[in-house]
Amino acid sequence: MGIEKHVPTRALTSAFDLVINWARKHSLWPMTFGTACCGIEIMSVLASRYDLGRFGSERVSFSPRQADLLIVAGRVQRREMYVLQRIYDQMAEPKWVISMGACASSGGIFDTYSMIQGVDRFIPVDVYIPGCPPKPEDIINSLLLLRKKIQKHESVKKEPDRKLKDIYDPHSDYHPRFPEFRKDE
Amino acid sequence: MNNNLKKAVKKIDKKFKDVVLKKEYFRGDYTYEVKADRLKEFMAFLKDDKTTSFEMLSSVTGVDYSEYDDDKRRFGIIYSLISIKNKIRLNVRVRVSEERCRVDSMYGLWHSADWQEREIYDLYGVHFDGHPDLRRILLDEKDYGEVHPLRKDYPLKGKGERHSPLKDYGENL
Amino acid sequence: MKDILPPITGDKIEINYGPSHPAMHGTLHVIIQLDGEMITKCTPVLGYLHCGFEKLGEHRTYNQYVTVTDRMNYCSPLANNVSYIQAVEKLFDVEITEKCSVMRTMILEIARIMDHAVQVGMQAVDLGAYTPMVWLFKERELLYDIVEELTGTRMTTSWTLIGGATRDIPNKAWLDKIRKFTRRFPKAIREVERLLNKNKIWHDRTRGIGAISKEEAINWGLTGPILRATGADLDLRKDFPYLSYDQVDFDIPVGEKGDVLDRYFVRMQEMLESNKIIRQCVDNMPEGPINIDEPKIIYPKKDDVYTKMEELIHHFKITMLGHGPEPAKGEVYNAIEAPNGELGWYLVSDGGQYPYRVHTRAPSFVNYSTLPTQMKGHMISDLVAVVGSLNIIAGELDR
Repeated sequence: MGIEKHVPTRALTSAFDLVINWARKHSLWPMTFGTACCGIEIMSVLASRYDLGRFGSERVSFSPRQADLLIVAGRVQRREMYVLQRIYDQMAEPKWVISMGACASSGGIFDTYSMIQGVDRFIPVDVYIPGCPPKPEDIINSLLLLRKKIQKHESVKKEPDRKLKDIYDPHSDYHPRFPEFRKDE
Repeated sequence: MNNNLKKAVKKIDKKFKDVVLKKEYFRGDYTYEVKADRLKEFMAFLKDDKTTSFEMLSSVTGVDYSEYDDDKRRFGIIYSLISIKNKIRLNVRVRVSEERCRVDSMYGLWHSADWQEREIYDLYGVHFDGHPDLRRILLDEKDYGEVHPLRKDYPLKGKGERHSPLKDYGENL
Repeated sequence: MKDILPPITGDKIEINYGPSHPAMHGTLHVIIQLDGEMITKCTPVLGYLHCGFEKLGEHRTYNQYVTVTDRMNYCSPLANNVSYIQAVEKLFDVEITEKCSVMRTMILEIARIMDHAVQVGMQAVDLGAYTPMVWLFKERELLYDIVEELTGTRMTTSWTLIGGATRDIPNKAWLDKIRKFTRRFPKAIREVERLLNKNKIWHDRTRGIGAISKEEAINWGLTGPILRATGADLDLRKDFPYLSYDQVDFDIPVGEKGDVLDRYFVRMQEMLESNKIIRQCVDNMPEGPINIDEPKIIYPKKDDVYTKMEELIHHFKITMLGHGPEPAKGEVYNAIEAPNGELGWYLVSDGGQYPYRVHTRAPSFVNYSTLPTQMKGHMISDLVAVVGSLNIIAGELDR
């Protein structure tokens, strides 16, 4: 809320944190960045049999500015990484990232010239789900694991808990690019 | 169906004796290898003539034959044609060398060659004369500049274009 | 409607219909030039999911590459498995058993129902109707249960091998499960049709949008339900029959105008025809083994591998790298009728264990190139309807 930066110690806000974290973890609004096969499993999770809406994620937003959970579902190519980074920067704090599937966590079976070997080289990830594709029960399990992490979230922090500089990659600066129309159109 | 194929093959053999370099029959399909400079009239005949009448070009494939045989003509382009009226299929192959890797584009006859030829230019580096808009389609111009990844001398993991390796964790590429 | 409005003058804007958009399924990117709300220029940009499948094919053996083909068209992965292994069997010159042929026909039709269900559901969601998607996904979950009993997983199945399959029918109850599904499926389709067929909003948003003529469609290389909606009746199951399609009885729905509404009707009718084919296959399933009896190409039975010496040696030889099955030197092209269109494979072999070149003729790739032709004179909200109706699967598009 902004006021947290001016509060000197954590002791003043711990009671607030209990209530606020309880509210946050029961109403996560996901943004599903589904690129490939894992995207179809996300659609199955949001459908009627494995309903994700009963865990509070009823409203799936497609705009990063209105979401607080980013589910990276699918393989990420080099060109797509620019897009993903821009989306991650547009989300408002506090935000969490779930990396779903083998391809988003570590490259999967695609160890080729154009695939990113793990999304966590460029954006920080909270929960990894293994599987190709993971079963819908695994996805629901990961949401429950994330809730435990959210309960421990502190709004007044001494140091940031994500050190992006350890794995910073010089290729990761995104630059907007405007592709061209066809010449004969 | 087999009758139509035999009639079509007989007519092509009669008319284009000097253009056809090789004729192969493998697993039930015919493949013609033709000279690269006479390709356009050969294809125009295949499209317009009544016995053959190949209205649809279903697939354009590129192959790098450098480790297949010792021919100097390194790149091969294979066109797979299908005739809806006569219900027959045919393959046509053209081979070009590395110094002069230019082929006539089939965009004027069949528009389905549009993106498939762009893909071959992107991944192999073969130019198509007469194509209205020949530029890269699957890879990024800025990141992959001069690289044509499907050639046989390019490694599977690339030469460092995807991202820099994590040296602290022992990665090499 | 367009003649009543005054002519639009003014500056034209160029916007990105971006790589991350709710109506763009996955990673599709279109740049449009707008004049008011009319689209003047429209160019798709590809390559956001280019994984290097074809380069990967040169470093995996023929049997190992089946696991990679699942990830191409992920809405109907069984169709990719069957079509790839059919091309490899043409190269190896191998004849499959009758039971395998009938099983593969049935599996292909199950994949067709799965793919069309996703397409109709997602198109309805794009245009505002949320309910058909939930109902069709329920049918899809029942099919997932059936597939999971046969192969072990829901989606990335990798079920076929050269000369047969990894697993046979589990038990008699599995066939009864499929019979029960074919009895309830037409009722579910009729419920969805009752919502959409005579709906004025659906007709207004899809009638006349994206029309393309028959000759133009053939020239641009369109195949599948999109071509059949324009009036041409090219269907590889009837014109170049393969597997057991000449022994089953089915019709091919053909449309008239080639617009989005006709494509919807063709797909709904095709799902009912597939249901008929599945029912006939289940009723006439032959007895016998599913794999051929050729120990140099396909694994022998597991009981024999554990107890007899010769079968153990054959199993070792097929699995270990350096000894596996090897075809003759040559090139082959084979195509089948996948749910999206003509899915073709071009294989070049140099006599070794690894293919020299594997190329996929992806139907989405060729169908998507007609987007600028179809969008002439339409508005920006029609782009959503047209892209939804083309059924572009990004994994197949970029490979």
